[in-house]
Amino acid sequence: MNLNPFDLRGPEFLVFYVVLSAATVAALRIYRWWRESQDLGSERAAARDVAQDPYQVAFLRGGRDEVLRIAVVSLIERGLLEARGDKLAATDPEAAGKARRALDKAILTKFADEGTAQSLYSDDVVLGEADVIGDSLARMGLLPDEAVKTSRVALAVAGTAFLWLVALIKIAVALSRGRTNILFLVVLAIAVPFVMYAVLKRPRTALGNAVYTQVREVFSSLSSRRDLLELNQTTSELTYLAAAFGLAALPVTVLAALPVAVLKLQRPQAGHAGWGSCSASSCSGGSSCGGGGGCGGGGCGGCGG
Amino acid sequence: MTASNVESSAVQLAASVQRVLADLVEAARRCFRDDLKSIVLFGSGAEGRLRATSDLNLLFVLARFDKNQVDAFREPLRVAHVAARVMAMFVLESELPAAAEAFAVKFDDMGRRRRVLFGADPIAGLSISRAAKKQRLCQILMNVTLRLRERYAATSLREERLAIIIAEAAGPLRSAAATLLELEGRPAASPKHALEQVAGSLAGPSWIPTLEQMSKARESRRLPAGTAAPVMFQLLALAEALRQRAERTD
Repeated sequence: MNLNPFDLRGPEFLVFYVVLSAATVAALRIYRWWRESQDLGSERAAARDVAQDPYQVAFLRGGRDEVLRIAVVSLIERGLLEARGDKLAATDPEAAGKARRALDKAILTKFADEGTAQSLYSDDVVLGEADVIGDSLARMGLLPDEAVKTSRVALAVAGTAFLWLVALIKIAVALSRGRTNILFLVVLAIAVPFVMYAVLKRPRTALGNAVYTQVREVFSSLSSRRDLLELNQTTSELTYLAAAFGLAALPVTVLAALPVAVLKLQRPQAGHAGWGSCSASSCSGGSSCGGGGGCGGGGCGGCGG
Repeated sequence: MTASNVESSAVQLAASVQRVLADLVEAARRCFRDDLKSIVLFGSGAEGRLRATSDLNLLFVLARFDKNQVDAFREPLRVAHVAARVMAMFVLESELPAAAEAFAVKFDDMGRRRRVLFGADPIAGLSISRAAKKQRLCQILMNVTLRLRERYAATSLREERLAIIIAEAAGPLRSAAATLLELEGRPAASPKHALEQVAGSLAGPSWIPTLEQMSKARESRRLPAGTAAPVMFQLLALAEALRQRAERTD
């Protein structure tokens, strides 16, 4: 019995290659999780720290764009910011002086003069203050820092190189045997880095996921009584609810009262998120990507052999 | 003052609430250090009977109310309030006897339903005069009466708001009934039972549907269409009857 996979016939090798790719991706994902799980066990303390700042909660859940949305909602709820059509404006020239957080101050300063809501995403000071929150989460090991991102890229490159090497050997074997039906294998090999990217790019680290789960548990009671919450209360319940569970979790009565400009507030154009960065677009995270690509169904043209 | 429920630490709150409490106690110890004398959970939370809409009442007994310490405590307290509706009462150790006299019904309730979360039990050694209890009881019942009247006149055009007002009246009415029975020398098992007992003795079983609706409002903050206004007027009558009975006690 010949166990050399390079002697497999075309369709059988494609199946083998898909399974090998899935196994490689799964192994790399497990390795990534293991490497980023060194601090697991400290999530209780980290969750306690993060829970004290709704903006950290929002950033952990949805990245920079989300924290900007939550900050705007929070400031509107506090009566420091108001929407005028698709524009935002501070309600009081001294509003920035009443805010405690640097991000709040930056937003209120920006909108001391009326401006479009979307312009929030092009204000370097506002974006910088939002990134400070993300940096603090990265320092806590909850979001990938540069070292983690580099490590993820290295893993992806190694996995891709391995799978490309296997594909190249098979292609060489096939060509040496006079076979030229290598198209499907080439397509699969080209798909490999994209699958690697999708699987290894995660907005949070393993510790970040564990902390986020705990934070949601802390505020689970808040979520269950959300229908009792109203705008313009003196507490921070709505801000925390939106931070932990998203704007969609707000009660209908509150959503109806929020300006459309705020509900539609989003980055004008999607940016490149990089290998696990939450700094652009959203980072919903948590879901799994099966990995391994696929060979869209029978009747493949074969691959040598 | 004895407490039947101080030892009831076996009473279980939801895990998430227990965790919020544990974190808050730890934060209080860190922020107030030696100035923190006791933390007491009182009311329905001490009985483990929390609803989603219930407040979690905590008494913090301090040696002094220092701005820097309190500033450091604000964020943990905000998280606890948001996560579990924690309501804090800060009382200086030296103020306890005066606070107990001034808020006799509340402290009387603490005497019945409390769990000490940190430090010595500050309630055990307190004694509240009968006169203070009676005076405060009448004051609370008058306050409930006036508030219900004002709320009805001001908000009942939006019927759904009445359920919330009814829900918020439940706590004071129950505590008042418990204190009233205690003054009469017939303490009830719980404030809820006390109100049922007092209402039953006033007008028989006709009160049962009203109290059931009040419990329902307390639980869901909603009542069936057309029921809130009659319930509110029955509670008004109950508050007035309770106050008249309290005034008659010796």
